[in-house]
Amino acid sequence: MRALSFAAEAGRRFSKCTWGIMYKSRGEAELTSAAKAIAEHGIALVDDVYSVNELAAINAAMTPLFRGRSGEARSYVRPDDMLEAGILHRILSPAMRDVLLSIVPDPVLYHFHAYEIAGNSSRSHIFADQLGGWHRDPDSEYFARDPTHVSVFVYLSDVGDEDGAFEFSSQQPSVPLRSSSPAVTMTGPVGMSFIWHRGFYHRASPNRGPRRRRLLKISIQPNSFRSAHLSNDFFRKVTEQVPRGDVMLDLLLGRYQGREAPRLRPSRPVRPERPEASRTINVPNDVLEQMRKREKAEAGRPVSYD
Amino acid sequence: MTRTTKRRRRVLIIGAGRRVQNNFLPALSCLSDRFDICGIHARTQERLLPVAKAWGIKPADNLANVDLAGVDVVAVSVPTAQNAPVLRQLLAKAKRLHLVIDTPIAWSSEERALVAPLLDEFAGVTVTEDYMNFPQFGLLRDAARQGLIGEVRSLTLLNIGYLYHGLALIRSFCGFGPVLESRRHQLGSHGSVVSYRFQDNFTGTIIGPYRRHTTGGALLEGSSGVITEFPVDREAMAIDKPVHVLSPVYEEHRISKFKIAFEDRELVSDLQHLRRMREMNFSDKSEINLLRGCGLIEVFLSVCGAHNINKTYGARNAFYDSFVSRRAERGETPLDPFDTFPKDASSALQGGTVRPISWIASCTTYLKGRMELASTLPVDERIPVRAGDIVVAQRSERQGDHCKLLEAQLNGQPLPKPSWFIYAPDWAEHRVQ
Repeated sequence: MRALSFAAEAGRRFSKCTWGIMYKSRGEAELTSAAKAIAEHGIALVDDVYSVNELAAINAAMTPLFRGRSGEARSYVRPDDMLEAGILHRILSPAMRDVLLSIVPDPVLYHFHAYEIAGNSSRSHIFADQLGGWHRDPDSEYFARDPTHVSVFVYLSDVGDEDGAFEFSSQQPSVPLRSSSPAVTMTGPVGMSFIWHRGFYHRASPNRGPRRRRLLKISIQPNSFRSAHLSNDFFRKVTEQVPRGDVMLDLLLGRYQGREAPRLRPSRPVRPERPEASRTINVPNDVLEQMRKREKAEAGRPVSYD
Repeated sequence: MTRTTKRRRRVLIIGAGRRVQNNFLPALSCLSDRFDICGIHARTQERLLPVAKAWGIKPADNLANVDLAGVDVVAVSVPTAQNAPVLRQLLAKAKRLHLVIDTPIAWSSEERALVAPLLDEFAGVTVTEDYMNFPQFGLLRDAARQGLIGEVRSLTLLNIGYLYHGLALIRSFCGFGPVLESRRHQLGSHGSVVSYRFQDNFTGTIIGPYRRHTTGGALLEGSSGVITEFPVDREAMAIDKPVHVLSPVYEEHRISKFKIAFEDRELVSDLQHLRRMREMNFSDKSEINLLRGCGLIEVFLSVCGAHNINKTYGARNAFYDSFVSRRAERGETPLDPFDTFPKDASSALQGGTVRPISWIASCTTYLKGRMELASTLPVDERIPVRAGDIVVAQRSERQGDHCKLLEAQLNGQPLPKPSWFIYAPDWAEHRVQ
């Protein structure tokens, strides 16, 4: 479990982490162009992480697993499933590693799963009871110019406007959200890949379409921060079975947690592209004001979810 | 579809031949919400003026008089020999221009040598490899990506897929990975079978002769299903996996969609742009030409940041496909030249003049922190070098079958540590400058 920690917005440079280590946020010179883009706009499209036949293999392996879980409103394929299905290493391909290392040089996983959300729904699948689903992730740190807690999404099903598309506001979280704040709806085909900052406002729009929306989600943070999720059974099984020696994988699986970790560089830095804001968040300002008060009141309360 | 910018881009078209009249102008007209054709230039007034008049575009009889400050995109479709002279005239403003250039970019090693360096001067380069974007092929990729036929094993093109277009289409299924092996068999006096093998044992086969889509089609086989353009395959294939038919849908005897039916869903490619082009006033309304226009629309959409395969295709892949497909068609590349020789497609096109300090390698090659088998090294001691990557060594020394790179860059970036190794048996033959 982690604590809500949005207290420091712009200007904060240090955070005390679980082991008493101070995380010193990175200066601009230490950031890749992708990390800078994420710090500034919160979201960036990247070139396809997976080729057609890689996606075919990943989806073909996941479909039988999801088929058995299709009764759930939100169903998961976890890392232990991926390992068993023989696609874990394919998912953590060199191209995916480059994406992760383009943002954080010592990345540790805290989300690593594919999930489906049910179709024919009129509500966002998460945080639907507030602001139509708009939220920031309370399990993440936020530094104004250093993206530390980010997620990579790869759509594993075609996502149109009605298919539960991810929506994101590129407005800096330190600026109060207004009804007119810009937002982008991330629609695209299977394989579309993007990185986003979990400290910015975002939501999944309702999946009104008939099909379940499937995506791959990988969330990372610097090694200095403790990843509570790694103690889950589905991570532990992977940690137990995957041999040591692959430094990147060791990092991701938290084998350097609590001690100094190597800092790796991407072999090919990703080329970030800024998606075009096409709409506003369109939530009434009085509702936003209530939400701000609630967020302030809830600061510090433990939360853990995925 | 998520877009990355909103402003209409101002396009200058250079060339006024059949390709411009029958593809570029119809395609750009379909995208009038994203592109504004601000001018057209051709060498001869006889060709330029009628085209400019027919499409209501301002003609430019002299490129020197065009205010390139008011241009965002230059779309060039001229004979390959003219590419270099045309690009040279744009150099002054190239750093802010996005170039869209027709394929093939060069047809000879001499042309390639002249044009390739000029491409590097532009802010962006998009190659109009439109064949792989034909709507039916896009539908095949969609089905494959969704895992509807399992892992993709092979793509067969029967009487379709001309040379580099065919290879580009095949490679679009494997992330434009390099050809590891190719074989060619002659069929009678004018037919041939050219097969390519890629990583993960994905294979592509082109059975000729090429018949311009008057007959033939594609067959994509996966581990759990097959998609074919031949309906008879459903009965004829004695295999233990389902066979799905990719078929056109006709309205009033004219093609309007493509579809593939699966057990629980139907994938459809709605050809709204094709229908729109059919209403326009240009001469070639043949089905293949309209499909080509649809493919070209995807190319132009990639210029606006649309998420499609043209976004990453680029000039290097275009040169690669052009070079490798022609070598394979002649039966000259039984092995991947990029695995075997320290030269790249560009240098190979220059008639054997090897660029000794650079290497464009396949994804089977690694830069290694130690001289051991790449697979035994931890990840931070190996860097995969993929097709299109360029390793440039200023200082190196020979160590057995390896080359120790004492001072080198990967794609212009210095390597993270002072000394890395690359497996390069033939490197020693070429003096490092």
